[in-house]
Amino acid sequence: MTPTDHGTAPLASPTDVLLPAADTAGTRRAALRLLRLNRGRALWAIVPLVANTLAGLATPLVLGRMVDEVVRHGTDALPTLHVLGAVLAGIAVLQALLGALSHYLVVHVGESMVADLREDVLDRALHLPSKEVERSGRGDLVARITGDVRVVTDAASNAVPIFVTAALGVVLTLVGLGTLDWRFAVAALLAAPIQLRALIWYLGRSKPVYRAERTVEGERAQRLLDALGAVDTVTAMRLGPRHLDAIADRSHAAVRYSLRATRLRTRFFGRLNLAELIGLAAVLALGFHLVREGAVTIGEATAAALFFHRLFDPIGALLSVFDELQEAGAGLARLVGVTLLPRTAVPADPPRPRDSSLALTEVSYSHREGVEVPSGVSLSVAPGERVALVGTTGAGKSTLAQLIAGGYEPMAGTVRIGGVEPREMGRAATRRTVALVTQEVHVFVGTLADDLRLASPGADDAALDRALRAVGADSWIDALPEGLDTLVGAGGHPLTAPQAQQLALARVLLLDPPVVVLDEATAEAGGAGARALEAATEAVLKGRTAVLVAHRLHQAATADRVVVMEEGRIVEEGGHRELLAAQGRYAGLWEAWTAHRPTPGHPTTAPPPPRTPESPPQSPQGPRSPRSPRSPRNPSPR
Amino acid sequence: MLREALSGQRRGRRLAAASAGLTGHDVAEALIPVTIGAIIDRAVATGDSAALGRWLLVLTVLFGGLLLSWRYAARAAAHVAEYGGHSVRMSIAERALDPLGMASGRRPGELFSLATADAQNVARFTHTLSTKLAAAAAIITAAVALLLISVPLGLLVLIGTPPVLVAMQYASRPLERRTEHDYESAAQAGATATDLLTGLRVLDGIGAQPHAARRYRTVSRAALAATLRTERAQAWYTAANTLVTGGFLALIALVSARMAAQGSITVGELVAVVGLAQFLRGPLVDVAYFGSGLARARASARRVAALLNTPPAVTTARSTGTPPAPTAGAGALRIDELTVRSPAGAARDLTGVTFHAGPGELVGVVTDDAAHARALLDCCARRIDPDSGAVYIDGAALHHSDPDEARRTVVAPPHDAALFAGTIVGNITPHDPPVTPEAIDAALTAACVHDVVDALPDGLHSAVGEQGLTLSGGQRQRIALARALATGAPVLVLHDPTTSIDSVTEARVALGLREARAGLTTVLLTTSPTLLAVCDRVVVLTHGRNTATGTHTGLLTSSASYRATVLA
Repeated sequence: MTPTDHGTAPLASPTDVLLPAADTAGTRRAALRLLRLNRGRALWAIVPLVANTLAGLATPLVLGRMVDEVVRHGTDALPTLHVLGAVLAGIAVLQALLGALSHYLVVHVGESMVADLREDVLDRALHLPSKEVERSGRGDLVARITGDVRVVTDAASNAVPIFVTAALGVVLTLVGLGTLDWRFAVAALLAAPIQLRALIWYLGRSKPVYRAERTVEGERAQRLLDALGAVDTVTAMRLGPRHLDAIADRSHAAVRYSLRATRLRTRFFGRLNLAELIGLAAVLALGFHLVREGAVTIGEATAAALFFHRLFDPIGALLSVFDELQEAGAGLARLVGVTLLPRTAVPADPPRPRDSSLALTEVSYSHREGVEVPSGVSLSVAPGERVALVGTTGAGKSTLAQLIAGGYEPMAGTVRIGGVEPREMGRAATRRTVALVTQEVHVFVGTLADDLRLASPGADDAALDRALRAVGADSWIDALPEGLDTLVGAGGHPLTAPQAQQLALARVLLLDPPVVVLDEATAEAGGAGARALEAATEAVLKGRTAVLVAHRLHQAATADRVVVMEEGRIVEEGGHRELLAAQGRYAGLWEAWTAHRPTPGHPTTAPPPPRTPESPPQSPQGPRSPRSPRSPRNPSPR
Repeated sequence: MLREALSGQRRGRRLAAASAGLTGHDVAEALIPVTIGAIIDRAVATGDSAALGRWLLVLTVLFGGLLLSWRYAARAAAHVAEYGGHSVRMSIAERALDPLGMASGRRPGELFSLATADAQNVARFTHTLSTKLAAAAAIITAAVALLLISVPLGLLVLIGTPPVLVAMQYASRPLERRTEHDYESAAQAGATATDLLTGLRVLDGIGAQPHAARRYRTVSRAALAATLRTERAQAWYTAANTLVTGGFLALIALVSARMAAQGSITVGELVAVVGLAQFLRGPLVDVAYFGSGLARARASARRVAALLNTPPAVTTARSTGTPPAPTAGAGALRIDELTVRSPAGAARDLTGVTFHAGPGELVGVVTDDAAHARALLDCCARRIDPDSGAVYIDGAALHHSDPDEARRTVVAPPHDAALFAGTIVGNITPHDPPVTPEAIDAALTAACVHDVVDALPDGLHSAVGEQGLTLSGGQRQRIALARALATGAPVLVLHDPTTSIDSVTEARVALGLREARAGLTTVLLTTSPTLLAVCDRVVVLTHGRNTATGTHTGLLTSSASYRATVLA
């Protein structure tokens, strides 16, 4: 459902593609599966529910009896009336207990199912390929896990109990009417065709409206998150009015859909009222006729009218929660849609990488039709070797880093870690082998210890402390009000970008993988921060195979090998000195980098002493000489 | 808070109309059992078919009135609820994005939950309010009908109802207490999910998704437990309600049956009374539930009000008149004895920082602690105010000006400035004041955005996705820089604008920046030698105090600590 008033938005629509929603059959299957998981509780909930409905039916019968007693026996009926009054009070007690019990049990089942579902959805959302999530936007996911979960939860604790109770009530009341005289039940059923037609009319029209409403609410959520997630940028750039307009636009659209749904609902209820009138008139007229014929007593006619009158509420409830259920159904479909996205297969017995080497063969990837970055890249990294990827922004270094780390799957060519493709290993096993730290930092809400334990849940405080010290975070950790228990993340103690990045490196230490890919992980810091981060990086890379995307060319200079990328291709490759001597692309980068760093400690031509790797590079050809310019755009040596 | 949502923008009148309509509906509903009684009495008991026809006609009219009044009322109430919710949502967004900022930071997830779930709770209270008013009217109608049938019976209902309601209110107390707490717990689950999804890339990098999912499960289970506690309280409350109203019904039925047996009321009147008593149960329960509906709305309203009343981060009252528009050549920045005590994330205070930058000057500021640079940046942007000292623009203290107006003159975006969903050009183009396409193009050139754009199929009109995430960090950083340059602000303060940009491009950006800011005041908080080399002057802060001033080359030779800081 695409809302028609899209074009008025001052900002472009956040995304073109939302994640899919499940179809009706898929949703039903998922709901039944969840119900099966809670089967025991569900069965227990039915018993008090039925008992409660039966107790409720007794009330009009007792009242009818009272009328009959009065008509037949006059003042002599008083003792019987007292007994009947006591019975009514007894019914109230019974209904109170059974009602409370059944309500709780039904809600318990519903809420447990919803909790299972939302955990399932988040679990699946977390495991979606990052590509998928970024394409459809996290706002959509967040809207599902908050808004849709809420709609479904409300239905579980409200609409479902009402629906079940009312449906039982309607059926049993019809049976009750039939016991008075079968013709009463027939008269009451005169209303049914009208109700049925009204329901079909309504469901057909309201379903698309509800879907559209949910979609617009998803868009509203994305706009809200966009602005509320970057308040400082919005205010600094004076973008507030613009964002507020964008939010107001979607919020208004949601209001309009909601009001459209209300109008449909009121027309629906008008038709239901008509059905009630016809049914009630029929029951009363029939009672009139049957009493005149002597087939039933006045008390029975009264009881029949009261029975039917009592039906108003459950039928109204039954039909009115239909749309709440329908809305919940739409929400459920969107939630189930997430769980139905193809799960990347987890191999039962993943092959183990034989070592920590990397081999890329003719690897290509494309974010957009027609633009292949990287394109046909081949690269091999020996165990323990440290390779720096350098090149201008947009050359494809980050994508290559994702490909190596198994975050993206190559569209052509293969990536092998220790001879095994990440796809064969599955995500979990791949991550035990290769960790990826990107320049995107996020500090999770919770304590510092909680944040670190995401990498290694079993780590004790001493291990966390060791990891933090290894990355040089002790300088500021010791100043924290509550040390490891300090609340960090949004709303907590603020950390600077370098501090957050140290945290990211500490997580890698705790994870302890043999291969590490760092994507500009030290970019955020300047000056002293950068030095601290470089020391931290050194601690993390020690003894591991490493690929680092480096803008700070010091890191390139200390690497075993430098790989220069340009427009998705490798244009130079070799040792730092070698490449400088070759006077190619890298020499140009180095010159720019060192132009304003002229100190005796940092000679422009000689790099810092090369690092001695734990296991020396074992690439068969040894460091290759710079490739002859593969790209015609390779600048001529200066 | 509630009042504003319900009665702002003439919603009050609509709400009153909705309540009146619903009251009409409920009164008509109350009259249905009376009509049934009349039909039993006048037609069924007597066998008078003309009476049957007459009374069935009355029944039809009653249904017609009931139907129309409800249709009108429901639409009016929905209108109030939806627009009320919209208005609450917008005031939350406005508060969050207020130029004055918030003294205590709020998580995006929390703000989001306020703007959606809580705004809805507050607004949906309209439904609660109008249905309860109508239910009260129905109770009164029923009581009047009963009084007309029999004074003692009417009195029984009129006198009996208040204690019943009081008993129900009493029963609802524990529920109210629970509700607020448990809603917070449920909101926590949503906030945790939002946080984890926001950090998805980080989780993915270390394969922490299973642990994150487990963490969410813990929170989700806690939320479930809290919900079930509320529902248990709700169940007891329902039981108490059923007992009280059921008992009341039994009492009325017994008393009226006795009266009918003794002949003081007719059988039809007995039916009407019993029907009314049975009908009364609905409105009685409805009115009694007012408590829990109010509790929920109040809890949400309290949270919303807490946000709206969050003290601003900076305290100047909004300026009243229109301040003079920035004039060409103006924009001299002077920072005088500026002190910020324990800036966020820093080990030491920022103490007595003093420097100046005039129009046409490009001044570099080097700090050994990134948190100090951030504090300085925040003071210039008026995200915080200094504890003492001041930032002066053309001699006027910045902290006496309206923040939003000040940001026309001084643009100081945060280091991790975000991009927004939309196109590249949409992100760069400032809306207020509007600028020429040439100015945009100059900004694009200076920040080397053309390199980024050329690789994209739709060029400048390519969509960047949520928070610009379809682009690489370096690309985002350049677009953010172009956005800052495009403002052409008299004073621009940038914090490490090139950290994710390669060295060749950085060198071009440094020169572009200089050119783009010619004649204007620019401060670069950075340790990048490439940027510092193009600065006219470099101010060095060590441990939060001024320690040296000079040119980049001069400081490189004269100061060992400067070398250590910038040549990392």
